[in-house]
Amino acid sequence: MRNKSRWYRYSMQIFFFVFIGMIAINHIFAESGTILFSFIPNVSLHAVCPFGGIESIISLVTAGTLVPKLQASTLVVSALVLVLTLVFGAVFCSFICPLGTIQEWFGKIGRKIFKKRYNRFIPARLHNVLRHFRYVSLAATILLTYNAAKLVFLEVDPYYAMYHFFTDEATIGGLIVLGATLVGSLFVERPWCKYACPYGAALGLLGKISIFKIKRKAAACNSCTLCDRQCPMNIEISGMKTIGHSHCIRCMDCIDDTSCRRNALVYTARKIQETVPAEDQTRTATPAEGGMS
Amino acid sequence: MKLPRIIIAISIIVVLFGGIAASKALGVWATSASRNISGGQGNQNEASSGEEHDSLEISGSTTIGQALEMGVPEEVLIQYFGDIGDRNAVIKDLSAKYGLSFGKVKSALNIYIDSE
Repeated sequence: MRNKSRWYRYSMQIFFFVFIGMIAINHIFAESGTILFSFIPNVSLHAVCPFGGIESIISLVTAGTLVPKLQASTLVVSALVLVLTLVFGAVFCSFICPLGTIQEWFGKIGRKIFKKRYNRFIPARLHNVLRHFRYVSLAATILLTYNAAKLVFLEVDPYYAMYHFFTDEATIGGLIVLGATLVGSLFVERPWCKYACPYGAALGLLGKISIFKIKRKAAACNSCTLCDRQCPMNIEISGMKTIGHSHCIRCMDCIDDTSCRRNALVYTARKIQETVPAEDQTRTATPAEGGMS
Repeated sequence: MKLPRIIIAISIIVVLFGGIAASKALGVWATSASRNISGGQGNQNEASSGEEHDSLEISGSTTIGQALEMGVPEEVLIQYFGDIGDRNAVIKDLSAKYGLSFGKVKSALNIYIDSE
């Protein structure tokens, strides 16, 4: 039954993908004098981009100014996403971000093609090195934006390119990164999120201190590692007590019945009470389980 | 407390759209050009009504007069729009009037601003 709850997330992803698309298209057409959707506000994507507040954080703190193209509304949206992240973790990435959504859709094609090999092409050791690149991406974006006093990230931004690919506002760099991300998604789940997204890096770090986290009941877990295989971000969930990993996007795929048939994973704000379920009282823990606890 | 996904979904909608509605009510929601956000509410209101322009580039609310102040040559504007006697005319509106792509006009005019 819990598997059906995935559709709450999928529905949200579709809603935001379409809604943000309508905002972008409305604004593009409004510039030539046509309002396509009168019920959608005519604003640029920059005005509602939650990354804007992070991008221009230095100039915001030191001078109280935003770089061109960003507006006060950018700060409002940034603050709201910040609140959501501090409560729930990086749910923006899993429930809202249209770029994450389209990567998931391409990933479903990749999963059909490669089946169990999907998302296993990059060796764990290399993945553990590459995943730190998104922090480099975050630091570089913040510093370069401050130095140049303009949105330098726009030159390679796949998110903006995705909604403007048919206009002259899309940059070559953005289109190349978008193309590479979508092709990469056929082999690896959410490659942009895992290895390059500066906003995901910032939200992931904040998510480490979120109120709600996924927690693992070691007593109920039999270390089958199904959750590890289900995790789009390649987190080794079966080896953790609290999934406070900065890469965790709170997609909750690991807590579904298809991933954890023993209900060993819960998304909660409380400390886990380690009590062995009645049906498991007779089960003898293996050394591996003990090691993982 | 265990939290099902539907609660997260509802919370996201409530926080985002409720937060935006609240910021509009408080007068801090401004989506058009405003570079200085430390100028208080009055500044934000000016930005919302399009009276203040981004000094570094042409935006959707930039007028002919503002473009000239930014350094766009008068002859370039005349080339695009002919008569530019009305300095309060918004470039985006003029582009639409003459069937021009505002995106292209904006990019072309911004070149003159960048080169200043």
